[in-house]
Amino acid sequence: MSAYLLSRLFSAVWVVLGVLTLVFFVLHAAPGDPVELMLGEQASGADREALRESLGLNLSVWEQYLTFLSGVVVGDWGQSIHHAQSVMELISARIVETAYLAAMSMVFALLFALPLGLWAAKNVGRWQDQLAMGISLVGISVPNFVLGPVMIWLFAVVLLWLPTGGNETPQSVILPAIALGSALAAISARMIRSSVLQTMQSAYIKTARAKGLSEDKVLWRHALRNAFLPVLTVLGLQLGMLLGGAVITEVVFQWPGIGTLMVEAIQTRDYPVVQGCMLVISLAYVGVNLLTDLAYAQLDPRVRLG
Amino acid sequence: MMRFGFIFLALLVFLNWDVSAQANAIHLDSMLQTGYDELGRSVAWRIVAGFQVALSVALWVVLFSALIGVTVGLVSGYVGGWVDNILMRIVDVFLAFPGLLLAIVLAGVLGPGLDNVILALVVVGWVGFARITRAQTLSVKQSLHIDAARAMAISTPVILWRHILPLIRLPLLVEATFGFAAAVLSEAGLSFLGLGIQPPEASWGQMIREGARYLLVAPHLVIWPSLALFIFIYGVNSFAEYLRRRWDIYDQNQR
Repeated sequence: MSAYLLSRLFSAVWVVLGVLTLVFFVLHAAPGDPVELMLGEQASGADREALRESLGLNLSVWEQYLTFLSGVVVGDWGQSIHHAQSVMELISARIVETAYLAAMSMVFALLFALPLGLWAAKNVGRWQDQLAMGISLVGISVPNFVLGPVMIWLFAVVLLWLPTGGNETPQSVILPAIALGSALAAISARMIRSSVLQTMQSAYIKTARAKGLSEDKVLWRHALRNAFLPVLTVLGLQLGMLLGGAVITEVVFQWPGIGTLMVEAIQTRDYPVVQGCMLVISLAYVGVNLLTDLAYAQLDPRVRLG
Repeated sequence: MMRFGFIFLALLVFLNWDVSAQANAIHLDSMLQTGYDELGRSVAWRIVAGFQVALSVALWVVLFSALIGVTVGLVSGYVGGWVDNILMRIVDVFLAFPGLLLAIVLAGVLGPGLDNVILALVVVGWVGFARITRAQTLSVKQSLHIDAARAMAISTPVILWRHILPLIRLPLLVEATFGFAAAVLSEAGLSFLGLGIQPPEASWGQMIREGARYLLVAPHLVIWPSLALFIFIYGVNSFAEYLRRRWDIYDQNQR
């Protein structure tokens, strides 16, 4: 276990360093002078110089890069240009909302994908299978910014069942979670189907059938446990898709999470905030992937020994 | 292969058709019952114009992503060793950005416009091609004809181009088809956020964005471009599925 753990940790550290570097240089290359943005065009030369100095912008690129790296490590993520708050404060106020939305989307995706995938696997090759896979292809093909407005129109405007956006009531999460989770549900349904089908080929399933177990018992007691392992890994990996999609979904539903914060910050050229949002999302993604890999290795000895 | 040539040719003809006059004209005689937007422009013509934008973005994105990704994947898989190590660590860094995130930030930093959307999506898109090409190259590399070519002192670029690439073209075509759908979706997503194609140019994502403001009184402004986007993506995805099943290609992205 320890050799595998070490190699995974090492590569995660490398990836994090690479992410930090890429984020820094992308935003450093951005056009527009932050000092100009903060002070406006009428500011005097002396004021500009003073601010430049206090922000560390008079240093060379490499010195700024090192300052940025050490700042990230000690939790100093800089000041927002437009809000009188530090980036850390802004993000920590929003991160819970995004995490909650992502978690609810995962729940929705599983609730939807599990029955659909199992139904398709049980009736493989028949019309039920075709229908289920057709539904899943629809789910993959409808982007969240299409599903979102259409659902708002239907459920919030015509039927008046649910709020159009925001997060004031407990029901507010339903529509955004469905919009965000639909693609994940579609992909998971396919994964569950193919994983169950693969497991059903194994010798131990043949044994279970040979000893006279009913098909339902074979499926639920024996096949599903093993079939679920690869599905869990994919769910972990797909979290990235979820976090990326959350940016758009949050904008559609005015959900006050990291995504809306980031898009606002991009529009107002508040680069320290953009930087912080990007870091938080990528770091969460890398962290979850690492945990998924480790959990998988724990559950399936072939991964860490093979 | 011939069929792909014809599809490509048809796309070129379509992309050279100038519809900007109709798409931005204000006239109240529509060719279809799709209605008008808030400025009196025909929704149907704007959907046609948006289709052109989506196609040209997707074609360029797939072309450039494939060029970069396939080259990186071939070299990485064939040469191996420290070259492979370095290239794959770089790929890992790009994979650490979830979904559209990097493209959103890049498009925001570069500023809106067709060229910048293409650039942002290529930066994100090449990684998929690199991974699949590397995996395929690793398996083809073992075959005897590669040993034979090497024994005949054929140079590495020729081996990659003549002896490996033709054998892995089918999975790459499937990846390109899925990538095409993904590029159309991403362009629409960026334009929906206001970071892609700018008005008065039409794009499906931007039509949905503008239309969403009038959702209560004029839902057709959202429904038609949404339907166009859905039908197109569904079609391309089904085609990619069909190709994958026909050529019996295992889905690499599912790990």
